[in-house]
Amino acid sequence: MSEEGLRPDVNSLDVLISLADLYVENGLFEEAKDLLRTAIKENSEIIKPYSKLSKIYISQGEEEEAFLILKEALDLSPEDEEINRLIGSLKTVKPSMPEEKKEETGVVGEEEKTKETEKVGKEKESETKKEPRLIASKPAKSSGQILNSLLKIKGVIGAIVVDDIGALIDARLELPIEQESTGAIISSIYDKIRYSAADLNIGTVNKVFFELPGGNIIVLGSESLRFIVLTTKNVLLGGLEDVVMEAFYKTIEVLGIE
Amino acid sequence: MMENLIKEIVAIDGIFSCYVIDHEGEIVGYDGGSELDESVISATIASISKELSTQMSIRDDFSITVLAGNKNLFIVTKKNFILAVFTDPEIDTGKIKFELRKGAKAISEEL
Repeated sequence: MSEEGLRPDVNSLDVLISLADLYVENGLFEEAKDLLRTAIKENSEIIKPYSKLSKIYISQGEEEEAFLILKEALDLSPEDEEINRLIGSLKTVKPSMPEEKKEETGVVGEEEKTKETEKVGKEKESETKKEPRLIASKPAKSSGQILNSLLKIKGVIGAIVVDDIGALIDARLELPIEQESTGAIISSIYDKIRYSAADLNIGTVNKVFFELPGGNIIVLGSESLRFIVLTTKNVLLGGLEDVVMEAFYKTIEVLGIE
Repeated sequence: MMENLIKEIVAIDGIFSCYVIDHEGEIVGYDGGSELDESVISATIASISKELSTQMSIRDDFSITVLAGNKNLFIVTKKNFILAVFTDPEIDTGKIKFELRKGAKAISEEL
């Protein structure tokens, strides 16, 4: 964790893509994905990071994830040859049945919901995508899908799931910070507060919000899980509370934790 | 006066007690009822604040909001002191944060 900071200072598309390429070359696929998600967030109208990110997913056999990304890119640029080629190359996902696939993933962004009604301007669509809502018609299949959906919310820059001893279960970060140590540090502070609650006689701790100079952190915990969400400083934590709670309970469900 | 500032904070609907503590856990001032020893409370709050600032290398102001079953705890850590309040769990957290920001500013000026 960088000193007092949760924000990255590299937002240049070229830099992000070059770094992501470097990560891929070195087998650091999760780090590359995180950078490409940042690139998409910062430059949502540019196709290149979509295709790069989808290629990583395809190489890892995660075609559903790849398809969702390619579908977003296709909406931006329906005639893009590479995107169409990549969609055509998917083996397990049928491009002709996008709605079916989206339902299967369980985490459907507001963007898709909007598209079902009528076409809207791209700017408005982009705004809608980032509203703090996590819509799921069916349970998500993995914690990764849940964390990815959180990252689509404006102001959310990371999500980490750790167990009760602070060991990493899953993470999605748009920041150049080390996910294992960040998760472990935040988890240990949360535990300190949790144990102190007995001394303070305030009952069982449900949620903790940290408002720090470099950004905010929301932590929800159960006996065996810590669910950590990192946001930019300007985000109203109260507005995110419900969606983070929903994501937390979904994560517990997909991980099969009581 | 510090005493009056603390009384004003405790007078806010939903706030049970208010503590102004130094970074070593010594009480500068407090008001409101508690069934616990106030020195235990102040030491625990200072310890939480110190844990966060040390582990995350934070030198500037920060705040922690703990939502728990029986009470909520709000901690505002400033350069020279820590302001903490215990509240009703059903309280409007936004309102309390706003009031604490005002209170902390006034206490800073007083100190």
